[in-house]
Amino acid sequence: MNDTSRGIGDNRPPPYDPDILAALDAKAREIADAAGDWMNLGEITTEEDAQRLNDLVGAATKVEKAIEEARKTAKQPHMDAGKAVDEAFKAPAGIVTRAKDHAKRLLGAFLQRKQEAARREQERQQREAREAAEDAALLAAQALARNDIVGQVTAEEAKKRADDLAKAAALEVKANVQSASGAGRTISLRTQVSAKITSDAAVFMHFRDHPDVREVLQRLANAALRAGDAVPGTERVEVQVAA
Amino acid sequence: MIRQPSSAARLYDWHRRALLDPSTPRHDAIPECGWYRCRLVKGGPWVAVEIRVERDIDGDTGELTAPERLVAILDGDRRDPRSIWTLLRPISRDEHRALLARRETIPAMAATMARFDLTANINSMRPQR
Repeated sequence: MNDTSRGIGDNRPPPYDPDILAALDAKAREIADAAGDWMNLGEITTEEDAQRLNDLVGAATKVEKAIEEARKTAKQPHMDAGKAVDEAFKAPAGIVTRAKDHAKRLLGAFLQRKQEAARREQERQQREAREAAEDAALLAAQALARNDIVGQVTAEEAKKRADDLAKAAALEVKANVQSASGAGRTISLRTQVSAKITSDAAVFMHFRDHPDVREVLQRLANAALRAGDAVPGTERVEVQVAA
Repeated sequence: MIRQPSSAARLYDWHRRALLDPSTPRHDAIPECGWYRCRLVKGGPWVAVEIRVERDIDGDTGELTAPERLVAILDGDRRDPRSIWTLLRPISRDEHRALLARRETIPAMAATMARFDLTANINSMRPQR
């Protein structure tokens, strides 16, 4: 016996009422079809036609609203469920984030002290390399003056050691903390750069041609003009549209 | 009693002026001859209304034999124009004819006491060619 009342996927219904959607879809298509008839005319030339088309616009607005209301109604239980999930996971997420922030602050302070110590050590090495280079140069000059071949060879070796010290002292020193277990990542200091604005006018002039700045200026000017305020540097533009 | 029938110019004077200037004052208790439209319920369809004069005239003298009476023709019914006068908005005679004719192409407009559902009458909003 074949049971034809059930189909594939019927135990996973869509998250909305398909009958409501189908009815609204049919209505939307009916309006689109009627609008197509008007577009085929090309131009409205009589008051009677204009009034009928106006009613079609009214019908379209009503159907638009009905679709939006049905959409919100269908979506609401899922929004509520999503919100409940977010609320439930908020507490443990907040706890671990706060704990991590405290831990990172402690590590940051340690890393800064470590970086400072490394920087002082580097300065000491650079000083030592400079002194070794000066000593090697003096030895070389003295050996040359004495025609002391053994002394010259010794001076060259000393210069080589001084060069090695200088090379090592020139390496960038970056303090970091490795993983204790090997499973964690290495953490180091990262430089965060931000701008402190010291002159609003100068910053504005620098960015005045940026698209984001122009967008904000346009929005503010539109709002001010509509409120009846005059805005220097603008002209009033009026466009008639059917509404 | 004034025995001479009122002229068309006098009968339709207010209506003519109101068409030209919508702010023409009207007396709430004195209907005027002309063509109008109104809605009988909120959200209902337009209803075409005509207020006309009815009079009994002596065929020999051309004089009135009884006072002139105003009657409102609304949806095929005769009504006392005073009962609906304040609901009426003046329209031209041509618009009145067009409104009456429109009921042939938008049959739902015949339900004058019901809200008109735009979304249920989309076929009526297509070009009539």
